[in-house]
Amino acid sequence: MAGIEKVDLTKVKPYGDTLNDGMVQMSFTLPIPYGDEANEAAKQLVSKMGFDNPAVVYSNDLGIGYTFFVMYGKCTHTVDYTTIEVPKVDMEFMSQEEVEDYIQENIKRDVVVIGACTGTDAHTVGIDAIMNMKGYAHHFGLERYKGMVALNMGSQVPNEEIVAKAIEMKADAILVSQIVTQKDVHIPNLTQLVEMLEAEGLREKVVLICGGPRLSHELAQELGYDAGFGTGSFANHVATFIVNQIVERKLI
Amino acid sequence: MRLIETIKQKNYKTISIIGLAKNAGKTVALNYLIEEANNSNIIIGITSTGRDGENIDLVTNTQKPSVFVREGMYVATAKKALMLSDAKVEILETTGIQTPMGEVIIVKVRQDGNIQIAGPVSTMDMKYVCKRLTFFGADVVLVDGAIDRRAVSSPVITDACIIATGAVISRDMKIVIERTAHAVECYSFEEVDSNIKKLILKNNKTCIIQNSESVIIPNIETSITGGKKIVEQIDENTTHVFIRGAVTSKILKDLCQNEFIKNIKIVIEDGTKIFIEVNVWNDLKRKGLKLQSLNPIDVIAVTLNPVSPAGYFFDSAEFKTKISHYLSNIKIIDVVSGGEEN
Repeated sequence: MAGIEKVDLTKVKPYGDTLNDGMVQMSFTLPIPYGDEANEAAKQLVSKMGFDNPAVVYSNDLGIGYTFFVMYGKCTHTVDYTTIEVPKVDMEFMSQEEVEDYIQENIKRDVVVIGACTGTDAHTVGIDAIMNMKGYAHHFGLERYKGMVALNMGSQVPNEEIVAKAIEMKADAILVSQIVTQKDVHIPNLTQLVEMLEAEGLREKVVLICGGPRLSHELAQELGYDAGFGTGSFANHVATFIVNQIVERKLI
Repeated sequence: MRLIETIKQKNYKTISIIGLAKNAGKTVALNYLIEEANNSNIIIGITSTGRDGENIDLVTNTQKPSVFVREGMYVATAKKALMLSDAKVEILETTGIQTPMGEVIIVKVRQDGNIQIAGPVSTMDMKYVCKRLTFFGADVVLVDGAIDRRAVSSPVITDACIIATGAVISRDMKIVIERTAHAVECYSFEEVDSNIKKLILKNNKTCIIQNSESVIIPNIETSITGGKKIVEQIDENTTHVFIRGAVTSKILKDLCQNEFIKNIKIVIEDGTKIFIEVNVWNDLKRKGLKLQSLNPIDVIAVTLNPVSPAGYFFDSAEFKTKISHYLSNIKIIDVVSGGEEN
């Protein structure tokens, strides 16, 4: 019996129903009227994207001369997974109990954390998962941590309000969540917060963290944040980073 | 006179390059100045508040220009960024300043090549690094601002600034010009009278000045939310109101509610402290809002990038002519498709 084909990690391509078949499903809209010509245009475009055997599996008239497509195609490219390195918050994460003990031993006072979903963004799932008491996926949120005062300001909070709150509460850490934004508006929104903190002379006094599916640790640092947490981060990861920074930067 | 010569002549030691948006062409402007300096035998030092010179943009995933450095220049960059560079350098000093990409190291370029720059993040560290670059022999230090960050152009850190603007801001050229003119205007508010300046610096807190001589310090934690309390204490004798720290649309709107606003000058620390949208600003100006600055910022040039990574571009000549019309006192350079005429 032939052995199961092994994955070659130096040449990875999409999996459809057999290894390395390269099958990709994608969807997009073209500004052309619905019809056979539209389907052909979509196929030609997908072919130019580097896909073999482009196929329209669904297309529909969007009105006003626009058409929506769902397409299949076979990807011809591969990536070398073995050489990929993504900068992450690189530390040993503590559990909730360990963080609580750490605060008691090393900081000896309450750590104040405020968080919000800022700007136009109204999607609070991220900040809620990290901050709210009930937490997410068996990880309790920061509100439940002993030795932490956590305030979740909710959604669509203007940067000036979060800065004012940070001053009022003498916050040690500010968490900003950005989930869904249009045309990369989260970027100027995130930098504006850094600028305001700089203007108020606060930037060096707080641990500044952002999070969201489109924010890597690398991008966060480029924006002037101390750390960025992407999908799959839990409250104890964020908490570990905060308490470590407070001690490391002597913000006690 | 060419830009680099103007910098030398005005005896500016540190210049910041800030962008009004991401992909406004800061790196291209930086490369342009490096070449200009190289041609005029001016030794420059460079550093950055964020990371610059990497090949792929982290947000748009598009190709980015790299920073090409010349032999004899000085660079302050982080250890890991240095290891990704192909220019040959001599290490002069390790600074002990930590960045996400490792410790900031000061080097002298020994062989031309591409380099990635990732300098100090905090403003205090930046000031120190600029000093060290000058100490080692840089005639002029260029500080590249990250993304659309502008804190680095505060007069506390750099002597003058170059603003990079471009098509990326909007598909509508009018909006790009409006936003650029607004940024320049905020930077170049007239300097406050020296007596008033002395009065303000004595306390260095948000305050209300009566008859240009006596000072009232309102009991507020931050000006951001203190607008209403400040307004309550303004009367017909108020001549100036100094706002320390961030000056937002909210506080300016609060102040403009006051009936005496037409006779009052609002004083801010410098142009990097103001956060106000163009339309709100224009509206408040009509109501009689007047601003002055403790430390005006000299905008020595505005650089243009007529191309947007979103897939559209402006006619370069038209863009330059139109923007020159609004910013007649400032040198305008299209760094992408031309540079300066001799």
